[in-house]
Amino acid sequence: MATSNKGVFLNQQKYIPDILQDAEMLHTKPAITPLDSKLRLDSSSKPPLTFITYQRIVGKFIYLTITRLAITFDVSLLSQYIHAPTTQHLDMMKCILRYLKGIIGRGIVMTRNVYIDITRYTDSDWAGNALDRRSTTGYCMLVGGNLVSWKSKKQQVVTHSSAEAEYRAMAYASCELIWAKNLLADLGFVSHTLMILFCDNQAAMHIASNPVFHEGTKHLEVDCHYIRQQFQAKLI
Amino acid sequence: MEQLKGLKPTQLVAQGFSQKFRIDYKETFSPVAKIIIVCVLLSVAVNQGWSLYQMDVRNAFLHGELEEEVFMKLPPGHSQSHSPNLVCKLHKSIYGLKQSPPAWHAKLNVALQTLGFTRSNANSSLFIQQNFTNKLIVLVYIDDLIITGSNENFVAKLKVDLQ
Repeated sequence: MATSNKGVFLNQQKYIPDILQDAEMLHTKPAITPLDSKLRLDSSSKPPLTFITYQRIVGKFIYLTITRLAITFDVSLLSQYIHAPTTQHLDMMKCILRYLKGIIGRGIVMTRNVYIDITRYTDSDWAGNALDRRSTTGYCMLVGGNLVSWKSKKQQVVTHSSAEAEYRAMAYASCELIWAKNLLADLGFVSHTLMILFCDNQAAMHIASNPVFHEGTKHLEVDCHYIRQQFQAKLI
Repeated sequence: MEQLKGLKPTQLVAQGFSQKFRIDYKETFSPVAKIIIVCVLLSVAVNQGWSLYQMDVRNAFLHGELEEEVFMKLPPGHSQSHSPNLVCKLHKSIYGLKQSPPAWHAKLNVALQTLGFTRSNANSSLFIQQNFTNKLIVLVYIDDLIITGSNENFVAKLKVDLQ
């Protein structure tokens, strides 16, 4: 952590070389991006001989996401296979390590913006995971113009439409927004301005603002629960 | 090998693994701050132009008061440690006891509350002292504290008070 008159700079500069050393990739060639965006998980790739290093390094990645949010999605993807990685996951881990090599000095800057309000961006892909077709939510939250919270999380249920996936992301987001508002109120900053929630799906925004639509979404959800119940009862 | 030349720092540690749940101890945890609260606090402090201080409490777990009665075999090296029937009763928590973390946090909680702090509803590791003009905030991560506030003198006074 470094401070100046402009603000605070947070980074984990020493930690990245430690990870690279651990993986014996200290002299690797840096990469521009952590993972290929068109990457498809291949369920047929073989399990590696040993994956203790993989588990240890993914654990270190999780700690690194405190200041390196660019790898949040990739780390969440890798940690889903921490119990049984394949050679493909090991290759993905090496890609991330190469990316980290190129960004050692970077971190998060907190600057003085004189206002304290909450803004939040949410997004979701739709059925992005090729293996189980669940959607992944991503969000980041800014308090006083500075980044404070971010996450990438695979949704618990399969959604029927992108609007539903985005709407779920929004529901999750609003919970934390309310919590953050209470936290600020506790700190003595009672804000009367609206919190801003950004979302990039028109349908999901209509569902949020128009109560008439709720029947439709409830139906979707009930549908999904019903089918699952039937499946669990071994009726289908 | 250099370590062998000087005296090594030593500490008496209890064998907490021999304690039994509900008999010798109840709770074992001490609150830690979530990273998001640390970030929110940093952002607020930067935006308000407050200065930030980090404090580390030395030998934190030795300060805690014990709720339960805990007896311990005499440590090796004690003048009477060879008599098998003698035990000692602990007045304060020591490292290694299961209930040391909550005992320490309870002590800190009381100390902060007598100084006029209230615990935040949003997170139990956040303590706030507020009057009309000034504000003091303490964030607790077991034995590490982050202190910030609108008035430098109050922060300095708090640091003295906590000692």
